[in-house]
Amino acid sequence: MKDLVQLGTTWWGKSWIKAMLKYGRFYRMQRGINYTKEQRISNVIIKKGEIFALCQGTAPVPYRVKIEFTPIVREQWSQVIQEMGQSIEIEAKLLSGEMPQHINKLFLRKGVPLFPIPKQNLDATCSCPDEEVPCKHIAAVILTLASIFDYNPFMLFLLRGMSREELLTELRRTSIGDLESAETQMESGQDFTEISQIKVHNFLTPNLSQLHQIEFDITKNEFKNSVFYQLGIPREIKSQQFALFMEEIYRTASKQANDVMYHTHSKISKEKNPKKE
Amino acid sequence: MKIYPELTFIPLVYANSPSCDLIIFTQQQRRVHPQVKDPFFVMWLPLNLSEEKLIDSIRKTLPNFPVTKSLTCHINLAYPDSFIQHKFAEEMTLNSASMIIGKTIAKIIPLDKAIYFLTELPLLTAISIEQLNCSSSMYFWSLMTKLALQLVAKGSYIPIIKRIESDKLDSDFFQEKVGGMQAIWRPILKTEKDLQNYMRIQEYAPLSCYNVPYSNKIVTIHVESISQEVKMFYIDDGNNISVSSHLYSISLLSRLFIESVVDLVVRKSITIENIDDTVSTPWELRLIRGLLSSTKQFSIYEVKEEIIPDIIDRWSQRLNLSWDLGFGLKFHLETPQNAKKEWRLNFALQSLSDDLIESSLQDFWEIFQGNNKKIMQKNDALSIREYLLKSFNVLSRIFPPIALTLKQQYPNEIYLQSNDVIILLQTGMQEIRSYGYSFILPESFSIGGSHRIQPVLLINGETPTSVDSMSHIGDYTSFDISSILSYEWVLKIGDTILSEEQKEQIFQTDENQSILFWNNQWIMVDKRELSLFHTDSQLLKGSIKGETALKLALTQNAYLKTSQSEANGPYPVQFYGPLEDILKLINGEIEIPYSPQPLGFNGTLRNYQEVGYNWMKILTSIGFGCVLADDMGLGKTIQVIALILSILSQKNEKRNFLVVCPTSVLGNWLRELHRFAPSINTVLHYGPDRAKEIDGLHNLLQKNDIILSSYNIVRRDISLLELVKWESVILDESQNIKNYKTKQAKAVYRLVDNTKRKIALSGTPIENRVTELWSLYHFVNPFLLGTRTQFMKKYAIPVGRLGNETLIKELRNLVNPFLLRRMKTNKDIIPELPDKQETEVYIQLTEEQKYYYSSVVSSMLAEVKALEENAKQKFLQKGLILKALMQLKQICNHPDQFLHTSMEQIRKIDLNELIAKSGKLERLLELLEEAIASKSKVLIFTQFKVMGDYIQYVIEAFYNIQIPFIHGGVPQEIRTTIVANFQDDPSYEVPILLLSLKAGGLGLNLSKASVVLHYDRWWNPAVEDQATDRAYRIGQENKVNVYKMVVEGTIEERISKMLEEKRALSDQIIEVSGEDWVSELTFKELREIFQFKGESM
Repeated sequence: MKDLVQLGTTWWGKSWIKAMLKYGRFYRMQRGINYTKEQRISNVIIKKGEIFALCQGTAPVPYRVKIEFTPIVREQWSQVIQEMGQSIEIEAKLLSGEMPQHINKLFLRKGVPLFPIPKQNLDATCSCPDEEVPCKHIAAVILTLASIFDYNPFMLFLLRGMSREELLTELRRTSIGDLESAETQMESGQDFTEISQIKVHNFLTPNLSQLHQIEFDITKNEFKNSVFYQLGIPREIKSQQFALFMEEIYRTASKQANDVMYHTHSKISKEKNPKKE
Repeated sequence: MKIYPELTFIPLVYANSPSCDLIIFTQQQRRVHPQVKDPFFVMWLPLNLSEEKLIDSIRKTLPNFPVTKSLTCHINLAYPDSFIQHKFAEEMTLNSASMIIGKTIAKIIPLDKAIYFLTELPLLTAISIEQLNCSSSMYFWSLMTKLALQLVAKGSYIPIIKRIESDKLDSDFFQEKVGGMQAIWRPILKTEKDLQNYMRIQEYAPLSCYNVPYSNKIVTIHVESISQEVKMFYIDDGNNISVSSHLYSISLLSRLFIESVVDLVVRKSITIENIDDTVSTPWELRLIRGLLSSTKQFSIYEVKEEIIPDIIDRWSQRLNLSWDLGFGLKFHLETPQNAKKEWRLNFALQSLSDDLIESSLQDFWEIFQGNNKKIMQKNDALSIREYLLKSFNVLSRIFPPIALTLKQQYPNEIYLQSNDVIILLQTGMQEIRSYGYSFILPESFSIGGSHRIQPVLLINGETPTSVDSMSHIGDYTSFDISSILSYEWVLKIGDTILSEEQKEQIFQTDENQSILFWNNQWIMVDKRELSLFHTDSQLLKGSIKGETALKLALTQNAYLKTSQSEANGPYPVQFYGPLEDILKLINGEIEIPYSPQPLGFNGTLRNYQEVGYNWMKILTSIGFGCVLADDMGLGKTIQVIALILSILSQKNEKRNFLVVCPTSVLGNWLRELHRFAPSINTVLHYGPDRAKEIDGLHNLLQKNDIILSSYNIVRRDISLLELVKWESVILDESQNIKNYKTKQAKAVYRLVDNTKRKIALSGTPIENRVTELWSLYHFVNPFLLGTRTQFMKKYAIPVGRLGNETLIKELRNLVNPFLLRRMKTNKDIIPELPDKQETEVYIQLTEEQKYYYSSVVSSMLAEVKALEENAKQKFLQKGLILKALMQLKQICNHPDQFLHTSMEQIRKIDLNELIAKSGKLERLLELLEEAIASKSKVLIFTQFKVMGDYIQYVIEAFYNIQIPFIHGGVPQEIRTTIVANFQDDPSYEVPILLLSLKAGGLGLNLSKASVVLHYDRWWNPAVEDQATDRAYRIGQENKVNVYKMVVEGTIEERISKMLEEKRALSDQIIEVSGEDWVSELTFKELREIFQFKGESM
């Protein structure tokens, strides 16, 4: 059991597997472990209440897997989101694409299950000859989902009936309820707009004199200040060569920008002129 | 008004739309609606003139750009309709302007070509608008280009993956998906400064740089202004013009442009050939390939890889991306009153377009409670809210106490223990700043603040004392820039230097501790910065060259080397010992010792002139050269004459002065020297008879104090002149060496080593012309600005093209102590000046003029003499004299006027040759240059229509502008328009108005002019005065400078003198008699008056 749960690295990834195990048939679930680790699952598509995926089994053509869950109904979602909107911390996490701490408790408080609750058997099909559910392939898909949710918790919300966009839009609506009325007030106000005159030859000459505050700083910049250095490499990228290439690009481009800026004569490269078609 | 080519950025989405109707002409064919792959610029002319005119105009603006190689096209652009119907200089005042779409002839300029000429354009911080030789749209795009390059230089960009095909996932579940994706470099406006620049530049975008319509309907621009008092939030973007959505918005175009340029420069900077785009290549390397190849293509081969765009997207999420919000998050740390209290960390929203607009988060959040009166658009408010929430979430990972902000109703101030503050200052602050948020320390903790321990460079100024012979000047000794001085780095807090004991005390505390409670207050100490003081105090002492020490002291930016590559700074620099006084003196911190004007000075220096004289005296005595750059008309020459006289009064040795000036003012110098210091012996080193050998020169030097020569002669005789040890070389009109490459500048530089006092006089405000500054200072104080190459890299380009403020300040600090410039408009400095100053400007005849002059005079005299006997011929005689008088005046003006050369012929003469034919014309242009440089408007009067035509042509050709000429043939209504433009139109840019004395002498109000030039003399001073009074009248806010041009040794000078005398007695006599009185003179008097006296010089 621990083996299976460990396939998720976040609390929600782990919780997903735990929830799935509540459907029972632990032994059959365990058969999916190797396929998951061998990354035989591909073409995963998650929709509201539905999962599709391909699993490369022993046959040359991958098996098609489809799993269905009953999504959370709209009204319940609204209640949950209403509750989420009470905390700027939760909002901040969701906006940053992170799963807020203990968000499952918030769902529980509202009596809404974040993870599917087994009422009957798992509603799943697979194109393999094994009639039993879950077959090896269905199990592998379920286990693979843990790592997908780990990376992108919004996929879990999507499966439960709410896309990221919908969630954020609704969240927004709750947190700014009063803004609408403020805006109406603003539009009817008359004290701040007034038509004035301009001269049409502003078309060519705007008021450039106010541009005196512009200052540029193009100097040999240290690689340390670059965005790449600050961000480091995404954790998903394992290639060392990638980092080396990127560093070289950032260093060379910085020098190139300096060369362009500090050139003293218009040097127009000899390539052919515009490159059309 | 000058017409420059305009530059419009054409995004792909427009280029490939039917409404663009792009037609490209290549040599072989005409391509209608080509499929365009990269965005580009089009260059076009406002009036949609012919292709030839366009090419011509581009050539003039961008001489190095191979315009013939670029393709011509027809493209639809939007214009105000009035702009087509009327001439565009014409004033139109409207509430809203209708725009029409016009097919425009344009040149296609690819971005990779454009960035080169766009980066070369100077910034308006470095030059004035008049000097900007390009359209405002081109200027706008040059700013955007520089911003984009800055982002590349700083590494402010990240790779992104852009899907270019719609997601087919939903429609066909099992279809294999091979991504149509592009790998692109996306710029990031990371710092507050970048964002501010980005917003500010956009605020001043002229419509002509984004007149890109997005449909071919008629466009109406509604011009509205929002006059609401702007406190924190406002609806519009602040430029008071909102353009209806029929044009692509400038913010979209700017963004697309910056994205294109950044991607272009980064992509082209490197080529990698050994990565294949195949399944077997790891996707990371395929991404690199996509980022560097010109196709930008990035393909996904495995379904697992679908996550890649998200990975890349998430990568950058940690950065502060408030690109479009207009506001950024700002941190304020506040020091507590005592050791026990907590520190307050406060947050604010800072407007990115206006430093003064800042809002507390509480105020901002009230918008969502519905009780905030400050107005903001809903979407803006929402975006800012989300930006804040995301920011606090990210920052709480950097500095965990920030998480507290999100536990409240809205993110609000938090209170910190000093332990947390130590951590915050140690690492958190750096990181927060590096993500682009601004973090404000308590002021006393910042560099230079009173509660921060920081290094100071102390330079011992005791050593280099060599007693100068001019001890009477004061207690100052001369400064030898090649002497060696010793220095030491010390630590200071406030004004106190830390003792060894105190240092010990500080370094005893934990190495990372950044704040200390010390003497009852919190102080900041960055121990990493100060580690050298702890570990390696031997490295803190050393010796330094005098000139380096002086430069450090002037710029106050010493750097302390901490390791092989790293240096910290800038830190302040202090002198002690006698040099401290010298430094204070040249920095104007202590008063210049006063000495009265020298004995034998025939005149009275005004107060400010006395100041100038003493300033030059003390500076050159200490050993520095100097530049006197007073406005024209303030008497630079006499200040220098007083100085020469004063130096000569120390009789102990022979001192020789070399005065170099343009040929046209040689006479002026002689005259002024003679008038103000008759005791000085001056010899003119000019003409074929000048000394050619060193012996002859020495002979002259023995007998004379001043050698007066022209730039041309100095250039030719430099091998001779450089042998002399000069007490002083004085360059008048020193803009003559503004181009360091010219032979005359190079010649002058050869005099530097052998000259004790180097003085330059200039009437133009040189401090704003960076490259010319070097040329001048290379003569005055060569050590200050280094070699030309060093100077270009270190100052000229960063200051001129990039507007680097730190360097501008540094350069000013270096240069200003040796520069004295008083403006005539400054009544505080020059209160005693009359409001009108009349100056006679003396000019020499050219050889050609002299020839004609003599022949006219001799033939006239011969004829008059022949008629002398016969009293009845008096009438004829009178006619002859008046005719000759006229001819002589014409010759003085220009030989071609005398020869009646037609305008058609005039245009065929080489412009420089035409100017060089008349000393007067040459001088006129010099005077104009000075006047324009001091931003004066100028009236030029001549009594001859023909001469007026010549002048108009020459000025127009020389400056490439159109100037109006009011003469008898100009209808009244046009005169009125000209005058109205000149007087009241702030956007009317031509500062010169030409008038014929008769047509322009009466009735016009031209009070905006503050310089009046009389090109030729009228015998009646009242007529001249009337003309002068066009400018010198009620409404005049400035002092009026009147220049009367007089050709030396000619009838003009004689009459000028006579006028002066007579006027002193009674203006009436001459006023009544007009020119006739000349014809009443006796033959002897006539000869006296007419005969050319040039030889006497």
